[in-house]
Amino acid sequence: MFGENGTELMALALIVVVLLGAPLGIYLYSEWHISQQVLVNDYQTIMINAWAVENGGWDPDKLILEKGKPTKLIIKSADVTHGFYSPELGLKSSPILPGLKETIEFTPEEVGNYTFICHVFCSEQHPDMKGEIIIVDGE
Amino acid sequence: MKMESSSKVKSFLMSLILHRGKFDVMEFNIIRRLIKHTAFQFILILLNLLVFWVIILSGLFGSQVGNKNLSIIFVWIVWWFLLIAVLLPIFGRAWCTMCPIPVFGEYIQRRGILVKSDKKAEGWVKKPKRWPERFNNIWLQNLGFLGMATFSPLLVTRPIITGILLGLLFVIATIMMLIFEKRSFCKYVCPVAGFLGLFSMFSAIELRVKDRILCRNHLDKECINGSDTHYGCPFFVHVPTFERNNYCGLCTECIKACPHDNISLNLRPFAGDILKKGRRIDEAWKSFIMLTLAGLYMIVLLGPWGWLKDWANVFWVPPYGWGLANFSNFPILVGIFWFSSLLFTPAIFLGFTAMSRAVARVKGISLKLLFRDLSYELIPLALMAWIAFSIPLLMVNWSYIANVISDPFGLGWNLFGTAELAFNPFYPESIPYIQTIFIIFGLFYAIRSGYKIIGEHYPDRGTAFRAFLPQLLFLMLTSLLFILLFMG
Repeated sequence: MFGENGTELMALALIVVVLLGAPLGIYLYSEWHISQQVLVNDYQTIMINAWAVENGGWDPDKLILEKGKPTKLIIKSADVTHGFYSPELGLKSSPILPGLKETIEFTPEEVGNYTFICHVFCSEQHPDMKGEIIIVDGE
Repeated sequence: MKMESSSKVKSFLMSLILHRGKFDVMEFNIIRRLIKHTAFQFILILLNLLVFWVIILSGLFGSQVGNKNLSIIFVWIVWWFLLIAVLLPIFGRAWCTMCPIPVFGEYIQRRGILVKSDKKAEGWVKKPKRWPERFNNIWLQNLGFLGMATFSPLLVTRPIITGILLGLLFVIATIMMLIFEKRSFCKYVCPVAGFLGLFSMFSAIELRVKDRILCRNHLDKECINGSDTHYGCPFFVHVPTFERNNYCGLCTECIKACPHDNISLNLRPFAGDILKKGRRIDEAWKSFIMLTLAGLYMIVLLGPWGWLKDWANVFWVPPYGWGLANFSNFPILVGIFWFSSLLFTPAIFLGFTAMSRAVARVKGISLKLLFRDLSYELIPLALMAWIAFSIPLLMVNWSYIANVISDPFGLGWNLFGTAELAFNPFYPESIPYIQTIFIIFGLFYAIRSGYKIIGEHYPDRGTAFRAFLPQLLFLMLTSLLFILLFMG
């Protein structure tokens, strides 16, 4: 369809790079960013984006934390008002307005699997908005 | 004859600062070489394609909080402000030079990107059709823009709507260009091109032939038909004779194709096209629509009347689901937008035009022609009103630009460290005064243009002055209304 001229191929390649590269780059960066468990000032810090279930729910929905290590969970409401609540761990945020975030600090004490939910009615599928915290032994 | 360098600079500055005469900016070698380069437009389009693609992705998949999403901030604040306040008044339809929306269709249509293809259309790409003659006007663009404006409170606050709209424009443009020849989408359908065309009559740039006699004697007309290496004008402009910016998309194909280097890109005084021939009733209505919508946008989007915003807040979008909400008052708002743009403002203007004719007391002057011609005096005022509307968008919301550059999807990124920059309007108390200055500037050019247009119909100076008084009253009352809106 296109001429074999190198200029045409180069132009076509640039367009393809833009169309495929942009979403790929965004996806890879997003995955890298959300999976980070960064030790900052001796805290393990995790960023959690709260979406309504229809938009994907908690992101990430599974957190792996080290027992005994001070932890910061930074919860951001990405679309509507959400709240973070883990009754077993005794963690609860206030209602977090869209676009805003709240930080919860705690130190995991017991190894095990715990559930966290959204405690602010956010959408029709609000009851299904759940995630899991897994506390493991530190090495 | 090429000018000496110092003369070139002097002419350029005279044209730019004193707004006297015209200056061909391609007298500067670097500009001429840049514009004539085959890849010039492609590079601009590619950059914008990347930006638009990321904007669409952020609209569809990013946070649905408007001020945290690249799509809302970059389309309705950054792009809109740059378009209406910088590109359009100075560079006319320069956005069309770099717009990525029609390019897929154009590359498929041409069967090539940079190098002109000599392959004929075959198989699944059939010979494109001519655009239907009965739609050879800008009514589709008029109504399309009015349609978009009706839903603008939703459009400018819901990222997903912006993402869908931009995606749809790409799809529609591509499909249209597979069916119809050249840039039919741009010329007859694109809602942005509609007002770009009208307002570019005011702009300080024009693309024109240098020597018409040379064109008349040159039969090949590569500027229209294309050459071996470049395409002819895809905007259906008759390059050798065209006098107005309205339909020239500044794609620079004609400049590249012309074997005699007979096309110039001139810096010129503002409002250079308003007195030119070729006035049309569809363009007249465009000026009414744009003037009216500037006022309605200020009232609904920037005004203190929250209940009007509630009337416009008519759709649910995910995650609440798709559906109608608060619909009972929306038809009233639709009625206000459409009635005032298409009927009320033109009717008021017709009244003032009738007064002009009555006061002139000269027989044989057609009211319809006077009405059509005088509507063009509104162009400078309408453009300045839109700029005035756009100024607070930038001055109040500039910090959101810094936020979304670092966190385009609203997911907690901080690419450049500006994601947490606090909301900090820039001297908001000065905004009404800046807006007023633009309105006064627009009023000046509106009065100047209107008086000259009246003079075309009434050559006698005394008669022209008398006939212009109702127009002056209309322009001043309209300007006063805008200023009252600004000042509160």
